[in-house]
Amino acid sequence: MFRPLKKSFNLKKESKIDTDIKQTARRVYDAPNKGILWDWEVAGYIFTKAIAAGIIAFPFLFQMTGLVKVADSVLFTVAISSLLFLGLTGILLIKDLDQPKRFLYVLLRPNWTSWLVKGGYTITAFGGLVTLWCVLKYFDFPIIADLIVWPILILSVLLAIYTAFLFGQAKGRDFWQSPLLSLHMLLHSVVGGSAALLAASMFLPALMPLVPLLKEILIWSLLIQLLSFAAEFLSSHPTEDANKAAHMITHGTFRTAFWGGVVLLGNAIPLLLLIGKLRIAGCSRGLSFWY
Amino acid sequence: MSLKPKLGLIEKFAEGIGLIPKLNFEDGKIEPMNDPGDLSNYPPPEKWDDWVEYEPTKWSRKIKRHYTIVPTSCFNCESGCGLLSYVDKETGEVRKFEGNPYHPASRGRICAKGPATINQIKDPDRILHPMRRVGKRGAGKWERVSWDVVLDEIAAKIRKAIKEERNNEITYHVGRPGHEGFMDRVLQAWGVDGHNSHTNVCSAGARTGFALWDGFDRKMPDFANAEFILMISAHLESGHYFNPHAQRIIESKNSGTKIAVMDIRLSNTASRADHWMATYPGTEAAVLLAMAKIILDEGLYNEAYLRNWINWAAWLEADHPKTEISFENFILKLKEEYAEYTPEFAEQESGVTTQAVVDVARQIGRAGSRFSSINWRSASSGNLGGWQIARCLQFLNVLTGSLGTKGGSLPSSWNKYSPKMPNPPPPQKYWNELHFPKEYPLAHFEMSFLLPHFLKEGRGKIDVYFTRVFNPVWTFPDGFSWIEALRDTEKIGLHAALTPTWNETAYFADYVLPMGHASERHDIISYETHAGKWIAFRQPVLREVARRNGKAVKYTYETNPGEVWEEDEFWIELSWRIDPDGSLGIRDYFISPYRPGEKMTVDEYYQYIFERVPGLPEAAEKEGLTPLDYMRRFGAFEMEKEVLELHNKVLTEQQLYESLS
Repeated sequence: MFRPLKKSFNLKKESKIDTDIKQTARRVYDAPNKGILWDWEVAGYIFTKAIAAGIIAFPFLFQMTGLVKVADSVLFTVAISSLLFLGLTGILLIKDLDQPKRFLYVLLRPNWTSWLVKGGYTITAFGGLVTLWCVLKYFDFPIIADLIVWPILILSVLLAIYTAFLFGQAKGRDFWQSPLLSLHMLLHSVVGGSAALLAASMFLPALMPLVPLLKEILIWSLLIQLLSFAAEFLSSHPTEDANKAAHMITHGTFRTAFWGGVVLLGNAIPLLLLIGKLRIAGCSRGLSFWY
Repeated sequence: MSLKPKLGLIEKFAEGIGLIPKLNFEDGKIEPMNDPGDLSNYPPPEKWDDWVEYEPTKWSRKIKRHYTIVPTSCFNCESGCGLLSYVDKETGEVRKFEGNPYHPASRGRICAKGPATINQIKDPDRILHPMRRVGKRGAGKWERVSWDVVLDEIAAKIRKAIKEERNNEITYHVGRPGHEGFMDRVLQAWGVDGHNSHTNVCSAGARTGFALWDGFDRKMPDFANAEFILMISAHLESGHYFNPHAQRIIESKNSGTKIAVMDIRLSNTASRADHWMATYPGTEAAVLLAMAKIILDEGLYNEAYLRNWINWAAWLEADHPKTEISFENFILKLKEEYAEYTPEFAEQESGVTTQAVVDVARQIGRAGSRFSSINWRSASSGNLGGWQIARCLQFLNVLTGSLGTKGGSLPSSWNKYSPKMPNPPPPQKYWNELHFPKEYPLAHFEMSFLLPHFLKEGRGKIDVYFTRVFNPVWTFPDGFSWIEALRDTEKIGLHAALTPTWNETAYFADYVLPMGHASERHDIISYETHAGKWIAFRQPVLREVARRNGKAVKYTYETNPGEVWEEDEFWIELSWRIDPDGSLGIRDYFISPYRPGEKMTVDEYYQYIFERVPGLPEAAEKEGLTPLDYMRRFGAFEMEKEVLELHNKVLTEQQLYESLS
């Protein structure tokens, strides 16, 4: 091993330029260490965010429009559940950052042109209003609580779709420049929210009044979602890279996850199961709702 | 421009209540986000044994690679800048080359050719084994042979020639030596006048002009300390030592030194100069003579220097015998001599404006002993009588007394170390007229470009011809004459091309002998790059790694790719086989200085030399190393920081006696 050099060794004389360079040297960017493909945190965050938005939107919407009479306990439960999924979304978002320690910079050194910031504030505002709604309900201020339901619903839509604008700003990600992306995001929330509520109805009888409508919503949203997949994956894309990405999903690395997981398990099978049990009347109600 | 951005309300508030740290915008600088020391210039030597870096090809997975760092010297131009080789400890592979910050000349700053060594050592087309021609010479067919066969066959031919006193039929023709004196010693040991070079198509013209002044045929401009620099046809010192010189030229310029460039091209140097004098080709001397006149007429000359160091009295006596011998009369007569070289004359000859000639001349005169100049090389080598350009240039240094001074131009040998080799052989007793024909008595170097013509004229023949890092078929004028001579086995009996790469000349060889690149060979390097004096080591890095790992290596080709060898060991082995029984007396010069009667190893050769480098044994001892190990570890040693004004040193009786003998 080397011993430390002694002073006798002829070190080069450091020029003023060297000293200046050393004094002013600083990193001006952080090299990305996430690789080319988005990792599971991004997929996970889209999933939890879709549920956080969808799970609260339908019961609140039904209640406000009078389509279904929803019990307060249900509203309270979905609000708390939405906050839980929102919390998970936040954790995944922070974990996905190259510099998680600097996550506060997103909000506190905001770059308002970025949808990362706008999205961050959407999440914050949504979380804040839902919390406020819970507090108001708990302390029995129903009139004021009802006043913030509409803002919550609007924010839930924004929460669902803002990621489309964020991906759109990532200009290098050709595949995500699709104009259908905001529709995809909205459908994610509709499917995620209705499916989560339907699943929860097995354990929470109070949700039962919502089930028929939720089923129809889920069927139609799954149908539209499958059609949008067909539009996205069976057509050609404007750039070669987007084509390659689509090919990678349908025929490449992710083909099993896509065809087996997303199309079959996530959409087709649930759709068939739901249609099998569907009543004609329900169908017409569904049609009237969507069109 | 201020870097201070405007803070929004949210940011101001968040900073105010301490949620996020405040950015320091003092003097427009943003506080680094990383801890100090995160960025460094180079690995410190104490970490060279185990230097850790992330694997760049696996980014962004942070995979750590452990390297052992071995210094060597670049072999891609005559500068021989210091390199650090990064050897992967796990795979034993050389991964990359960077500058050696402890090299006194290049100081860690290297040009693109240094790191490009990695391309050379990994070149998929490189020659990995000795090749022998099959069929006619130049037919392009080869077979692989062993080094043993090569050595035996060539040695037998040389031995026969020497025994038959055909010593002049052995020629070693070198393009880029890249070492200090090893081959001169070998040729002297063989007793042959066998050295030929490329110098007469390169620097010989300018060398002649300088040598006629004071015997030193190259100058070492002390750019770093100069106040005014004049470079003729030199793009940031286009030739030798360009990188060590270029960095000092630019440093000097940054601290206020003015630069003038005389070049027909708007070269890189000219683009950085304060004055670009675009002379018509070959007219540089006219400008220089006019500058001399201005310096004389305006009294800008250095009287003390001229009085002491010019044989003005002898000149007066010879050229103006009727004039009283006095310094004043010398100046008077000199002015008369230069009267015709007016700036207007210079402008007419060269196209450089009168104003520019006067302006530069005055700045040269005012810089005095800190006037630095160089002519490298096209003006001298590309024009008939070009040697006069160097001669005229030196006159400006003489007039300003800037020879051997700080910031002036130094004789090259002051700043270049000549190694003390073991058991030096006596000079050869032959004169090879194929190299120095008698009709060119003033030839300053071998008339190398005429060699194929001499052979065609039947002036002689070459029985064994070595070409080394030398490709005259491609680089010399009249390449087809070289092809003719090389094809003719009557004129050239055996041609061995010692080369790291295929080339047009090797194509006409009988043996193509692969020799190593910068990281695959031993050499000593010492060049006049600045006012100091230094020595550097080129070493086969994988052999050094093997040594560090305790693995015994006998020959360098054992650790090089394929059977790529190095010249040093090749010549020792060849010499030993030329004289297998010692009867020719050649073997005596290749005996170990440490083990009587045994064959010298390459390590012993360098051990001997490094033990005799002034100051090196002491510096090595301070590090707890032998001199050889010190050079293996650090790659370079600066023995003196400034070698100046040697002409003003009073010699002792002993030194005077030695200088005469």
